[in-house]
Amino acid sequence: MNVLSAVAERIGRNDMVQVLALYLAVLLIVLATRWPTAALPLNESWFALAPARTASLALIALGFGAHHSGSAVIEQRMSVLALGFFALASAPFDVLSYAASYPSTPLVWSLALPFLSTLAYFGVGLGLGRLASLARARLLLPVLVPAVLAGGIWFDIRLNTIVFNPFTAAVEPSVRHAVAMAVIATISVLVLARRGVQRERAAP
Amino acid sequence: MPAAAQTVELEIGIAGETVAGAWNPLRLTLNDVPPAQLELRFDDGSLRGGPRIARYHANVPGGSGVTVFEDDVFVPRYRTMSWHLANEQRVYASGSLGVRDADARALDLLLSADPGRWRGAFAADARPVDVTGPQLVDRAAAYDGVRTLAIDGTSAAPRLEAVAAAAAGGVRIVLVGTLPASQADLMLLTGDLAPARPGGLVGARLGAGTVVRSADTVADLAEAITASAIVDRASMTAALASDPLVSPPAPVSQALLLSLAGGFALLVLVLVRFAGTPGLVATTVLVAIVAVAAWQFLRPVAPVLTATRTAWLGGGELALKVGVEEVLTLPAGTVDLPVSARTEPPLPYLIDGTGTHVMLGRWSAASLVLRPSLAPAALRFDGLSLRNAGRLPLTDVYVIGLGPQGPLMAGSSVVPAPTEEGAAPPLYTRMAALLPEGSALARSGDDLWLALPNTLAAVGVEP
Repeated sequence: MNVLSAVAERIGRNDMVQVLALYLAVLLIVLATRWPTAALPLNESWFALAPARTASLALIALGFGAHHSGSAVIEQRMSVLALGFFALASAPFDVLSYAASYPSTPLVWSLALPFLSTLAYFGVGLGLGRLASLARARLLLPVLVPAVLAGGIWFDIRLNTIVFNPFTAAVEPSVRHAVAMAVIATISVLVLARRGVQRERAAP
Repeated sequence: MPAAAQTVELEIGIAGETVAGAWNPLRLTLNDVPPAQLELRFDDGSLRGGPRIARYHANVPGGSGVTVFEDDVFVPRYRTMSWHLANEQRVYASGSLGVRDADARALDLLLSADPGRWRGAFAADARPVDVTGPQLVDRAAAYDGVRTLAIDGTSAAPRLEAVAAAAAGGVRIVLVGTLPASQADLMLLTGDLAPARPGGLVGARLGAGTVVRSADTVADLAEAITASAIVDRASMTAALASDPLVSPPAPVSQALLLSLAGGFALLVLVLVRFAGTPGLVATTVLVAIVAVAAWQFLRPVAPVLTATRTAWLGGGELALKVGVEEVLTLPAGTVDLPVSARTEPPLPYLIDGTGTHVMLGRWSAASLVLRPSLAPAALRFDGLSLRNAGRLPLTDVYVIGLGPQGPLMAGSSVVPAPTEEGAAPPLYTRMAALLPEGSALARSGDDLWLALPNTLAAVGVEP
């Protein structure tokens, strides 16, 4: 089975399909909701959709990362690739609303950030799941996952910066956020790759 | 020998008199100061709305010896104004002015060895200022805040170019009495026109202004000032910018977005759930197609839309160029325009060597009024005939009081004649209200040419 088939198989499973359906439904609801804005008849859809897209992906990645922290490494790799597909599949939503709203945020940022956030928050989820296992508190993961995301947002608000908050980072490009996400994503990739190598060496 | 002290002297306005709400000449004199940057900051905000700062930057080429830097700068009706001259090493000079120094009254310049003699000729609320010949620059924009220049020939002669620039810039020039031989060349500006009626005013139009002669008494000067009407440049600019030049693109409907996104989402779910690996590949291709199609068909034509309307106000062979550039930006940010201009209504902006930079919110527009300048008049009155002295054909020629005259080819002339009055275009109607009877209007593309009649009598200036 090649990687493509493995990813397709992973996405096709009930848990992923259901989350994907929920995720796309959330994006549609955000797109359908029109907040009262200025008197001008502007299309402001991107300003709601981009933060919702990035933050939803971060939350989903965090959840799957925490859930799969004890799983086989191949399962973790396929899961993170499947979540990357979530980011890819939701890109047209971003382009559609971006073209209609025409914000000053670069489109490249808006398209690339969700991939980076997904990978980074999946890694954070893996770490969170590991810590929860060590503390024998995996039952608390459904609470801990949103709490970690909320903690990151609280941290940014307290320090008046953009490092972990996916809502503000989506509409306001931030070097700090990009660096933080890139560092965490790199660590995540290294951890996934290293664990794979260790398993291969351990095998007879 | 002891080294000479570094000195910096900044003067804004003619003879140091600044006119708020107008372009003013700026003169910076440096002595032994290395290259530095001059920054002016005008805050015309309010306590309620907060600061609204217009900035002016200029790179001043200093060095050993004396350096003189000159330019024209728009001075808004500021609450505070501050300036400094600095480079990376140090600040060489700085200063500030308060709201009491922001006088918006136009200047009445007196070029005379005995200026006190003529002050009675001006109205009580006028702002007469004594000037010397060298203080008169030869840039039309410098006279934006000047109403009158009276010259009696008793002081050092001004340069003919400076007086011509003032007249063409829209100033009423009054040559009082008989000028000495050293200043006889100024008489060239009044032309050889005879008064419209015995005892009437003698003078001529030049650009947007007039040059008239007056007898050597205070009463005659006062009468010449009252009689020689000039075109209200501020009203003309307002008339140019009164209707929007740029229309914002129609916003994309939310229903269309929702339909496209809903259909796409449904297709993705079906492909992923039921088609396996081919479904994954098909979804990836679909993503690319939808994204490219959305980008091509839904986004506006350009992020920044601009349009310019220019009016050339001519009298004689010179014309004053007054332009309005409207800019509409879809994303928020700084719009850079390679022109020197002020914003209308007032907005935060920066003028530097590369142009004007305006900070605008998303989907918002601003009008920029360009710095006035001079050019040869394409449409002009030559005796009784109206001539197109330019290289492009003029269309929609219209003479106030006579009606439409048809097109005027390059280099051709026509003697305006009464025609059946048709409805003039709205822009013509607005402009005609500001121009004297007998003025001509014509178009050349987006440019509007206005020719003032030669005779001052046509403005109804006769007492």
